[in-house]
Amino acid sequence: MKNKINIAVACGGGIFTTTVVTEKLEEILRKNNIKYSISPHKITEVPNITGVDIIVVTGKTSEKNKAGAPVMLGLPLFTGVGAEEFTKQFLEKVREIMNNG
Amino acid sequence: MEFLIRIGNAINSVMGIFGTAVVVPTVVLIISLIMGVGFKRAFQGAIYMAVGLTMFNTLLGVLFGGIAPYVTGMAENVGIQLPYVDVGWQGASVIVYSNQLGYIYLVLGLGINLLLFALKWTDTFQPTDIWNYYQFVFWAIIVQFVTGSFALGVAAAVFCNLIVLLIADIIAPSLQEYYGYDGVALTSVPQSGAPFAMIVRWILIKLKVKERHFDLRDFTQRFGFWGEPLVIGLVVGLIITILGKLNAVAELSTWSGILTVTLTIAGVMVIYPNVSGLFVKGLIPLSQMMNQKIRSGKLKREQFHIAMDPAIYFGESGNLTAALILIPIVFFISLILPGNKILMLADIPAMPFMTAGLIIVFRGNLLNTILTGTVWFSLCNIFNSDICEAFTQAAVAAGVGDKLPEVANAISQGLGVASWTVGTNPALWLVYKAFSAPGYTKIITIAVAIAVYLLIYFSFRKNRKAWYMAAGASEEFLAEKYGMPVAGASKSTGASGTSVQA
Repeated sequence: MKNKINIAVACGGGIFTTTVVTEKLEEILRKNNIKYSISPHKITEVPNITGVDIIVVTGKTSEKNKAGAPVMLGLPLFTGVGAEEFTKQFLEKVREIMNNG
Repeated sequence: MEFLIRIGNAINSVMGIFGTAVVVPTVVLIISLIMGVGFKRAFQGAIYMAVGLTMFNTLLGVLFGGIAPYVTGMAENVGIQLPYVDVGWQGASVIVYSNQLGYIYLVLGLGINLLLFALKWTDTFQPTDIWNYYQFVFWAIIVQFVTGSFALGVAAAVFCNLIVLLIADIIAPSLQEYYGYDGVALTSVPQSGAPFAMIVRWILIKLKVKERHFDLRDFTQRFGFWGEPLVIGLVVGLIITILGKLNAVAELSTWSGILTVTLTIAGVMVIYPNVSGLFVKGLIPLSQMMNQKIRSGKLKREQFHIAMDPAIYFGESGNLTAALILIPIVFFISLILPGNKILMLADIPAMPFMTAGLIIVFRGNLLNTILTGTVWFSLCNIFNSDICEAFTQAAVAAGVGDKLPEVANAISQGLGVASWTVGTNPALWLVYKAFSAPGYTKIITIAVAIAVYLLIYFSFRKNRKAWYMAAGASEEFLAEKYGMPVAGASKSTGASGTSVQA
């Protein structure tokens, strides 16, 4: 069992949407007492990211990456459309990874 | 108007004492508090913004200190005259928001956007994209510096805003269909390519040109590194410095300079996004607040589009591929293009933002996007070159040019600043031309501009479906999401017509 989840957040410029989505993810993880570390990335870096458990992107992109991590589209956290559903799926994924790791 | 000028002047005198790095974040803090953002979040954002502004100016000094001699050298040695160094959208945002009109329009624009949305003049809710106001206010500031009239500047800003909203309304369904995001809109500068792409597509359809498709998806996997700021900085840095010292390229000492400055340019490119990231943080709480407001139902209506930062359109593999192929093409053309005076640099990694406006119209066709992009972005460089001098004046007025010795020195040698992305907007360039025509001629040119706008506006309102489809939306998508009946089929079976499920 893992005690901490490593998340990469990636958007086009690595700035605007990343900042917003990171804040929202932190909120979700804190509420659920899950230890985490989140690193910001640019979406062009996604294929070469290593050593993370989940990648959350703010826009559609290629899903292949060296870390072999699942890629989730975190746009709902940014727009607010479907945010609850995303949160549920995200937490399920996080728990699954932590229990298997 | 008198009132605005008086407030502006009062702020300006405070600005003279404290500098833009203090005043601009304070203005943003006040707006945020008025709009109901919590103090802690608003204050935090303002501090980040102040830090970002300060560091941005420092970075610009480093860049100009290194690059200036090579830019002049390039003109002397190989006759490539590109005196206006592209300081990126980051540079444009700092310069616009540090000008009186820039921060005043944050308040004015917010009001106008809320009003236009409430009156249903537009379907697009723009306040969520408040951060990107600077991209069209940029042109209003050019008007102000060319005509010397603040009032004309304000009028131009409002008119540019109307055009931005009209284009956003027209391309929204196409954007939503291509990306598969419900209810989004694009009000930032990448939309500027869409009208041109629509004309090209219309011609291709009229000429019955067959569509050719290339599958290049592997390309992004292999060449993604080429879009990285570090690589672009190294490559462009080497080209500029070698061309700039071509006369002394055989001497060993020349190479120490070439390598140092190339590394400086690459370094600035790498750090740049982080600094502008700090700057952006000042406006994020406000943007999020507006997002919440529109979702909570106070302003909501049955059908609308919500303006989003273009970052969400960036990484889609078709878009990224087209952009990565266009980067070297557009850059090398810009070096030899007659009429171009811009040294493309800081905005080169932003190419995937700009291609989004083209690829949606061509429904993902890479060949059309790349060919059209080559012509379009090259043409835009020529229009953009026309206003670099005025933009440099705006930079000086914002305190970027006179307080930094490196930049002041470069400007005294005839160099200046440009922003490749923000200046890539010929429609708004035409607005600038109309608003700054000599003497009373401008009454006619402004009237013509408004007439053309109204003509397109009412044609669109009367015939939405045709315009939506010209922008790349499919009939099936419009039937499903917008409840627009398919031609020839029986009346719509009552698709709900809501594009946002809040």
